[in-house]
Amino acid sequence: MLNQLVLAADVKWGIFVPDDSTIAGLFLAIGMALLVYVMIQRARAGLPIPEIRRIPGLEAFEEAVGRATEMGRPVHITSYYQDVGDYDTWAFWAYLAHVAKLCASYDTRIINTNSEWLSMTVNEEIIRQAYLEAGRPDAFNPDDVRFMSDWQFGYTMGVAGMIAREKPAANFLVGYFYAEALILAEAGALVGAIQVAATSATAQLPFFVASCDYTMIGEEFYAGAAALSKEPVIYGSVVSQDITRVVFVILCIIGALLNTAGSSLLVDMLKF
Amino acid sequence: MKREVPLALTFLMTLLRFLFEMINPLLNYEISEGVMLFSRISFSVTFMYCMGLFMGLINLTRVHGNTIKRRREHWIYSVWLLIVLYGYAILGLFFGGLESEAFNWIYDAVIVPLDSTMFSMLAFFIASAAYRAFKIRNVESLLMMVVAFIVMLGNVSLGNAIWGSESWLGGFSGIKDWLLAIPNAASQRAIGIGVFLGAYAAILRVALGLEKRYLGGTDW
Repeated sequence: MLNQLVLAADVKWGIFVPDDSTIAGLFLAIGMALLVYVMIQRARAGLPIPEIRRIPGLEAFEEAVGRATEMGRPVHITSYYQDVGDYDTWAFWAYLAHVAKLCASYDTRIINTNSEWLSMTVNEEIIRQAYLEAGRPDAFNPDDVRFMSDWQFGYTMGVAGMIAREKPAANFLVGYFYAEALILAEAGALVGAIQVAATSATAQLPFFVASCDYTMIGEEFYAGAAALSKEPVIYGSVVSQDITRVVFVILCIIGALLNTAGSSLLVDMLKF
Repeated sequence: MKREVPLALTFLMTLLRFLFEMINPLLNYEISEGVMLFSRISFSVTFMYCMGLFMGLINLTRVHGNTIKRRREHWIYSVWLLIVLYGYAILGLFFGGLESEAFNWIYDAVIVPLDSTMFSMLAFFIASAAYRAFKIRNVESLLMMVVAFIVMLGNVSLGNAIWGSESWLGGFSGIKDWLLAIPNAASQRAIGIGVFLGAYAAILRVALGLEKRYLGGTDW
């Protein structure tokens, strides 16, 4: 049963949603998916794929956990916005698994604070599995995976208070943050924790840059999540991301030149 | 099967969500009069959140219950937390809910001021973070210091008194506007494009089953 009003609406190419950039977005999605497929196939076949650049923040994770181990203090990792269906949460899980694995192998306590009930259960499972794989299932303490509050500043107060009491030697702020970003980072700085932030929230980047020792900016956050795997197949998707970015830069330059010359051809194409 | 079923479901749901964004008849499909398929599928998320609420409640009770039982440091705060948690829930569920004067008073007189207090602390944290960030250690931090100085002066009346907006280059205010509209906007958009591509690649990795950490475990 189709809505008659919708059938009469001005759809694009017969069936597509009549919003800006629907068709351009479709082509971009298909193009990038093909690129990812090609890169993955090349990686599987053992053919060379372009290298991705080194991300200093990624190396800081091991350094920070090592420092916490030497000091005998815990490691704290959190993300404020943790919607289960959100890609920032998926990227966060890659970092959580990496940190949990490091902590389990070094026998260092890991504390994870949460603002989301559903994600918290996944986080707990990831950390538990890391301890199992390290052969230390008894060392896992479920009380260290904590639900704070889904209310923004309730969560902030809880995490800042926990940092002041437990004094973690490493503080990882990974994921999407809002106004609480600076409070959390400053709470970590006050207890002398080595801090690594990774976020796609551009509004919070200046605060993290000011307060943290290492900050992974924007797409570095997603690329880092893939790079942690050290698997060529996963690297393939990061390489395709880089290639698409180069294409975007070229399109920006062509678009600027065309617009200067008085033609809106490229803008119209991208808006279609 | 423990892994294959969730992976297949993830792929199907990602594809379905993509098609809902793209295909107009699907987006507006009605399963009955006035009931859209899209809103019905979205409702399942609400259901999951309700279940998750109970998980959060159980976790809080377990964590703070253990703290009380073992008389850990600051255990008295855990007692207070559980009293507030269950007390407010009982007040809301059995004593009038949103219509209850006591329920609304607690919200307006306790939660709202606490929220504002925490938010206002940002001003002090910005000062301490700025103190560290603006220490001139290299060329980049010098550049950041100079730009921040101009933007701050451009935003306050003192800046306008020193170098007014009617004078050359529009004064501090004019330079601030240019900095925000041109170099700042350009870098923000560049980061935005990177974020979009990174997010899309991340979605593809999950949809294609290359990234499986959400199933638990540390293997890819």
